[in-house]
Amino acid sequence: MLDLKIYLILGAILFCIGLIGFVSRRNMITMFLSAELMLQGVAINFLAFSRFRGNLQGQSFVLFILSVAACEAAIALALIVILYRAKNSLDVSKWQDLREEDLEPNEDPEILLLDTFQIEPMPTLPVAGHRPAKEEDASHV
Amino acid sequence: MNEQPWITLTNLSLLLGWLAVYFCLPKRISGSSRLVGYGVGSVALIITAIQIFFTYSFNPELVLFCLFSFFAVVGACLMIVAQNPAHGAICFALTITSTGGIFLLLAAPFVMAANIIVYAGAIIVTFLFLLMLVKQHNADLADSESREPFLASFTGFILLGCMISVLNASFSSQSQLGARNEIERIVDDTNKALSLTDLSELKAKVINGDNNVVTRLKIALGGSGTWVERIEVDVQKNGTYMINKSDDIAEIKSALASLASIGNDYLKYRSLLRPSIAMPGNSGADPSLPLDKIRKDQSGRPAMPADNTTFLGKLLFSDQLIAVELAGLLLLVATIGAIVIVRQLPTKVSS
Repeated sequence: MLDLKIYLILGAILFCIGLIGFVSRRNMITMFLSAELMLQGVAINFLAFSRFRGNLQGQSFVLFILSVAACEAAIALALIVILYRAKNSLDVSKWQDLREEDLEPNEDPEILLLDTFQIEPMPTLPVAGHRPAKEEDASHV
Repeated sequence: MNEQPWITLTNLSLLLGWLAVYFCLPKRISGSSRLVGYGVGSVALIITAIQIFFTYSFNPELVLFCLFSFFAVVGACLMIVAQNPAHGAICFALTITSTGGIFLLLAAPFVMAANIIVYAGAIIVTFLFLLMLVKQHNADLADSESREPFLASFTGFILLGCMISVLNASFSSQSQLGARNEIERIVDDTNKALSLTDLSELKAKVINGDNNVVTRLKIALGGSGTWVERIEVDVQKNGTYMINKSDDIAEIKSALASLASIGNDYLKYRSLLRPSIAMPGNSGADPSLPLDKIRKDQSGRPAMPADNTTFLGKLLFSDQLIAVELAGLLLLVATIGAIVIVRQLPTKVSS
């Protein structure tokens, strides 16, 4: 029979993967999903203790975690939308001007190098019923 | 105390996992070698699976656990390395449904349903809508270059290694409940022996060749760790009379009493996983049920009530009523807040 330890280890693995994603990715949406992943790891811990203790209080804790996560998702989505409107990008490191006044901007050397790379544009769809103005605007996705 | 060897299978799979995550994290400039990452990651997963199958006896629960946790961990890793956030959201949905299976194994069907509805149903779909809303005309540079991938993945896996080694140190290889029962028996035997007055009877009870109480207690405590160290110190101080088969009944009894106090301390301070009687929400409807009457399954875990939802509802709407009300209020405030945040203020017309 499985014991408590292996469930706790699974929770720890999910938590740490979420942590790595949160600190290393720049996209705000991926960062938010990583935070939710950490919450999943915590929920597994609560449920495992609840199971092996024979007590339902752990399960009720997970329900509260769920409701807080739903609130968090609503607020985070709203914030991401207005942040995107302001900078036209989901990159979180474009918000470095929120730092303290006397601090130097923390710019990674790699991200400056990125401008030298040509990025392929994502395919776009023309308005329905209109022939695209240029032939290369037509998408064949 | 036994020194743990550094090169273990657990540490090896941790190292491989770290390398896998590091290789897979998007790095446009140095070039991410995804295929290497996938290979190393599958080796790590195979090593972990072999370890699990050798540690635990084969049964359906183990197979289901391995299946669900495999998909959960793989989905999580794919999510944090996905360059396209839409793919990341789909992988996150895979993780959520797999953890739903884990929740079912942990006897929580209601939480499983709520989790899947809220996460996979609501949050993921809203995120996909958001991704359509903020249509990125160009693939974002930020998605293809992660911030300090080496340090980030190293930190995460060091934390994971610390947690796993602490868990390994705190759980002995035998099941916790079995060890507890054995220690209870030993303390019981010792207390019974303390009430004896005849020397030969006492010796027969506690000094039974190699199988004396000290050895039994050491084995039951897992063979190493702080509790066993405490016993060894205790034996050096006053337990030698018992080991040397002294004939002074008072000395033997004082040694036994100090040994029993160690056992009692263990039961008192390490008893956190034992179902307490007074807590609400215990398994079985009746909280006044004595401890030995609680239903247990084959491995000694307390059985959860079959009608999980009923008891969870009773618990939520009796003991935690205020918390439930506050959670409802929190949801309302969050909804209002989200609407206020995204509202576009009308631009003032200067007259």
